[in-house]
Amino acid sequence: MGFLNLIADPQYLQSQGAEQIFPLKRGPLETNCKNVVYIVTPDIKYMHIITDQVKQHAMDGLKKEYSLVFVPRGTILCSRVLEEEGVLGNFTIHEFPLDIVPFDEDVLSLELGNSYKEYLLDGDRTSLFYVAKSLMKFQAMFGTIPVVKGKGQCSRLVMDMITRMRKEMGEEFTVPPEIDSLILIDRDIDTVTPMCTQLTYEGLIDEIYSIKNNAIFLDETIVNPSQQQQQQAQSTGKAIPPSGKKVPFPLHSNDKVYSEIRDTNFSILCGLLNKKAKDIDEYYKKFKSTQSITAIRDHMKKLASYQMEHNSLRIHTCITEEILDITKSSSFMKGIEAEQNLLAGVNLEAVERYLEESINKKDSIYKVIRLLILYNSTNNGIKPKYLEFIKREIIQTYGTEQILTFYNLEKLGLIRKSDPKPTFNVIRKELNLIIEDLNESNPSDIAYTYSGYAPLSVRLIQHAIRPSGWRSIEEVMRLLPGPTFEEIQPLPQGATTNVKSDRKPITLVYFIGGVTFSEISALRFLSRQDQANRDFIILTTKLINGNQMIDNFIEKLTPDN
Amino acid sequence: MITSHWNTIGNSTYSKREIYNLTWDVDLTQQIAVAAPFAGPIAVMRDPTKFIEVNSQNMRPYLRIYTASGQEISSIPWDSTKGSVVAIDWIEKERLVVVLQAGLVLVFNVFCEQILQFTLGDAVKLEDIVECKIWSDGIVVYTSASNFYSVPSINDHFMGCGRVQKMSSIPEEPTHRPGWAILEPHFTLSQTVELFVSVNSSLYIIDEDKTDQQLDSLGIILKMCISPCGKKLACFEQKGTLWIIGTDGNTTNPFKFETGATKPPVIKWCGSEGVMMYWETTKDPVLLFSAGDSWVKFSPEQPVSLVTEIDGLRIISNQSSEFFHKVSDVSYDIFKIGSTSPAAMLYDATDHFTSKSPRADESIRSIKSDLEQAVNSCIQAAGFEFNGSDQSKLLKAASFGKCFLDNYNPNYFVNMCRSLRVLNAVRHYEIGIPLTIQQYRYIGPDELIERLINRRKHLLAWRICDYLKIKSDVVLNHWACTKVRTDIEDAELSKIIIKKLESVPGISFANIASAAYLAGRRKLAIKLLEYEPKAADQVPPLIKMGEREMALNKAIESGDTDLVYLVLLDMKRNLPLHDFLEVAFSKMVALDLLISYCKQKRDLALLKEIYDIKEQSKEMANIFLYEGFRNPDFDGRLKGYQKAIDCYHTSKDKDDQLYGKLTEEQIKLEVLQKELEGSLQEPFSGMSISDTIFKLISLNQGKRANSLKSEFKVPDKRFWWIKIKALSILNDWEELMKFSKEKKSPIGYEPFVEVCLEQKNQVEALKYIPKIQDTLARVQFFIQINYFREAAETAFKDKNADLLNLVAKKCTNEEVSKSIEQMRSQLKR
Repeated sequence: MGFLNLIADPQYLQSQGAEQIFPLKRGPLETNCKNVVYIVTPDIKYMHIITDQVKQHAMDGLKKEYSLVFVPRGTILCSRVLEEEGVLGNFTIHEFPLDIVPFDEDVLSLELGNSYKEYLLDGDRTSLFYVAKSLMKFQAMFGTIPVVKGKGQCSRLVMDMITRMRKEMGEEFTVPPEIDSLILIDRDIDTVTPMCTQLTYEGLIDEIYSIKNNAIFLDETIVNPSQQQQQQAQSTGKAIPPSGKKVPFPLHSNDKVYSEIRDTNFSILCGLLNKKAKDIDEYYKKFKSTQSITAIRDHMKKLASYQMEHNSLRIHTCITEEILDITKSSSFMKGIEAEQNLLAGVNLEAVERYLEESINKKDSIYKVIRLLILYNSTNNGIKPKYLEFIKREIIQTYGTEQILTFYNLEKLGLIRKSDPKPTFNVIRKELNLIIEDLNESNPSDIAYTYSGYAPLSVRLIQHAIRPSGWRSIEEVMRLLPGPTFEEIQPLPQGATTNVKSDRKPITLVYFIGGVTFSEISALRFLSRQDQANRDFIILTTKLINGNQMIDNFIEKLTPDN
Repeated sequence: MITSHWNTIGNSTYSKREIYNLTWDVDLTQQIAVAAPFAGPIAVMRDPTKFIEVNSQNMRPYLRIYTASGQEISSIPWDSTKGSVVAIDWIEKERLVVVLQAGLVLVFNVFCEQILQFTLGDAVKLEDIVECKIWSDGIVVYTSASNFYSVPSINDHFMGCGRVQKMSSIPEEPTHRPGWAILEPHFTLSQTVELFVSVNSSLYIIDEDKTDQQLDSLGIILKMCISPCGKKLACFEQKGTLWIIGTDGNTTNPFKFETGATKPPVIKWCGSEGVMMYWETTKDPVLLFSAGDSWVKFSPEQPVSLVTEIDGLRIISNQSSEFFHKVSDVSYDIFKIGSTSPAAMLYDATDHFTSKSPRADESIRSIKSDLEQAVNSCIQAAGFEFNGSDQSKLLKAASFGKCFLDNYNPNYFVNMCRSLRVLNAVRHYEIGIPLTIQQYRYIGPDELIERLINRRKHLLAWRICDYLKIKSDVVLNHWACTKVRTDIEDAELSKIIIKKLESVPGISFANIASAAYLAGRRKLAIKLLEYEPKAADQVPPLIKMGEREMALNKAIESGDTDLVYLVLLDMKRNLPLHDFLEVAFSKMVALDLLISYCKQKRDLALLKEIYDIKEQSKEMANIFLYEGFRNPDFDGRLKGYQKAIDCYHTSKDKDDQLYGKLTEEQIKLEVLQKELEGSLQEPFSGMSISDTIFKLISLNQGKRANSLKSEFKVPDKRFWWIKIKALSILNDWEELMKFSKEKKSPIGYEPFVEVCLEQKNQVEALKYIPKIQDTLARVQFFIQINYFREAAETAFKDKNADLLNLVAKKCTNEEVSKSIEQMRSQLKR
């Protein structure tokens, strides 16, 4: 029950006649319903779970009708597994081609969590094929995108696939193009950014609560406090004690307060929330002092929206308090300091001390590995002797199975022996990645999203949309992995550009392998800048943060399927 | 003159005109001819019921198929050993069905190629067929056991899911052979075949499930026939009466006509207007047509064969093919002698105009108000004509009349010209499809195209597509599929096909290739597949042809990994393992996918096989390690680790030696853990070295912890961290203090404060703060626990104004704040 919730929540499924809804889990499925519908992504591990359940039913003598709905499509592999298990005939198989899932007005995702790992670690191009398909779908709806720029191996492969698919199709989309350019970016060319702690409001929420399908789970007393609780809290001035029950809270641009603060740096959050609170307070005060009937009527009109904002403000204040508790702590500050040192290329010894200390304290392995990868990427590798030492420390602390983690990381180049060329130093300098003296409340650069570090990926996009494009930074482009390309897709006859449009040109940015919330914030910031004067639509294989990105590589001693 | 072949029958006028003069060598006294409706082809066979003079020519019977114009399309010698023919007729899509006595059904295309064969089942065979009728998609037989059996759909037999259904039985024992007729499913409420059956003097409707009695006053009916519209039923009664009743069960006011003959004739409907009865005798055949209250009799010189069309009747004889139909009202109005209808006047005026007579103007003036109707009538009438000059005279009249109309929409005129042009082309005797305009409108251009391509008239079909602006890919595909069955040499043929079709959108080369493959031309098929633009369509036929490597290449090119898997899994299933791996190894992408598949499916055996061949010892080691960790058995686990170690040692990558060593440590650790579990009765399994040390300290096993430290060369720093954490969690503050004094801490004293504070023990924390070297850290810790005075004093002692400011900022105690102020001013001095 993942992103399907965004399209069809349990209430909807129930209104369509579903009697019981279960998340797909290992173990027997106990239900009296005769008809069972499985809705799954084409993943072999799900096939095994389903097979076991069906076999169990047969053993218990239960006769059921099974349907299997693959999202977005069925694969030969899955059919083969079911066939070999001898249960294929039990199913009526359907496909639900939900490939592009909208997450916000400007963010869409294919929700393919493994794409980065699949291609780079296993050489499996399946997700790239889906990426190409989604671009074809986009072009069928919004017209051929005339200019395509791309960087990275995956981008190149995707470009080749869409060129081929256009040829295969024979007929062209005759829709007038609404999107004027496409930028394909491999996650692979910027592994630095996702390893850093995101420092925008939304980014921090993601780092701390982990946003899943546009929602986070909060304590019930924060989202829906009872009136009694609220009154009590007001009178005593103390926070409501948590109930322990977690409920989902949606994060979306429909929430006016959220849409105003999501992209800002956390350090100015308090100020913003205060101002917002004052606005609302002002409104209520005015309301009380209003005399004339017309004025009251005017106020009433806005009342509902103010009340909604008020409630949302209350919840976001709670979230902010929780977040600030964490960000104020010395361990968080030390972590950020280490990251900043690495990004700026200073005080490596302190970083190493911090890294070792984290291992010695047995901090979360995610934290350790993220820092190690960041260390590696910003220093063009790790000195062999030090690498050997760190490996030993990690393996002795977290377990010998971490050998497999290191194998993955080394194969991906996320960890490697140092290379004498100071690549990252050049990139940092040429692309001006470190901005000092940044005014976070009125930022002038995307670097505000990471308190001084401009995310490399977004910096590249910033260059790409300039008239001179990537030509002016050719040297840097060469240093980054994978080919760089810029291609013109010839428009089919009859599909000329809409000249009349008075709206800003649109660039579709495709992050192949995932994008972080802070990068999205940076892009939104970019589109508001005068130089850019364009809107971005962000398409990605998955909304990620550093933990999710490395989750696939970290070996866990879980049992087999 | 158009009217020369008109016959007036009652209030209607009928036309009987020759369409083709047949030059075929067919003698209907000895042969039977059955023609398909909609101007379809004619199948001719020896009539088994007739005696013939045996000569060398007709020794061997033949099945021959001719066009409606008598051109032979194809023929095959008929194998009469298969049994006698009980029925032969055409079904939809111009396929010929022959039913044999033994219950065998053969289906042919127009080229006499047998395209299907099935049997009616053992019951039919046993009961013996008495009579058999074939309708557009089915067969009904009547057996000597008075049972009816139906094939409800021959198309289903083509799909491999055909069936034979016994109809509900007739309720009384027939005293003689019943007359019966088939009401096709598209005319019935039940959407299944229904039969009208006359048994003795009752008329029943029977279907698969039930029998309904209909009517009992018509007498004993010998023959029955249902009109092409499905609404009327003609019945020939024993005493010579022709009854026409509705098929809807309404039997009031049946039409009745006394023929005066007692021998039952052949009954065929002419459209749905009237019934033609035919008494065939060798000497004087008689045709009797009855419509409304009137009738007309014809005496053909020779036997004929009749075919019902939706708008008339084809009469085929040895020499000619005639079309008998009701003259349309518009034609009648124009050509009736002395007609003064507007259309006739317009037609007349055009004549005058061409002969430059001023009467033209007069005629036009006289019909001015009805001119539009007159123009439309002339266009409509042109459609009914077969003769080109008649058509053009009518169209000219329409065109002439059009000139006098201001806002005449030319679409009708243009469309009629187009339709006639197509019709004239297919009516040409070489093509021989004499469709009327009504028939053409009924079947539509697509169906006509299909008929043409089925007769391999591709060029004409293609030209019609081009002319009517309909997609021609079907024609070209069919053309190519036909070509591959000819014996043109591979290289030349592929050149011809590719040249013609390469630039046409919507062409499926995969289809053509499949046809070539079925025709046994594998090489050609492969060559053609190259040109298929859709990889998804290329790969499956290549697999089918056993071109697995090429299929693999194409699948990889497409980028669709599912296709790659399709090929890989097919190879895995059908090739010896070694051959399979060899192909998979030749392609990086394929190999990666195969490995990924093994990992997902946990097919570790195949994975090991692959790594073994590829000599990837690092990967092999990882597999052993992976397996080892998941092995519940202690010895098995250690064996797995040992194998992994061996692999790491053989690895070419020097760095893997470290992993080998670390795995050795794992073995050592597990052995140790097992010992500990024995002596301490506590679980240790699955713990890392650090965790094990931590637990030993927690269990007060400091000595053992120390020996583990030296055994595994755990650095001091890490050991200290583990130890102070464990002690703090145990709340063993005394031991912690003792440890802090053991020697100078390699990690400083901040960690001590940290662990104390983590356990919320400020008192203990305070003991370690002074030991911290770094002033800043000391101050910060004091601030953290709200010891502002101590913080301030520390900063002051250090003469650090900045730090002091920091303390001042954080301080919440007024008294202390005051002293800080003093300190600040002191420092300033």
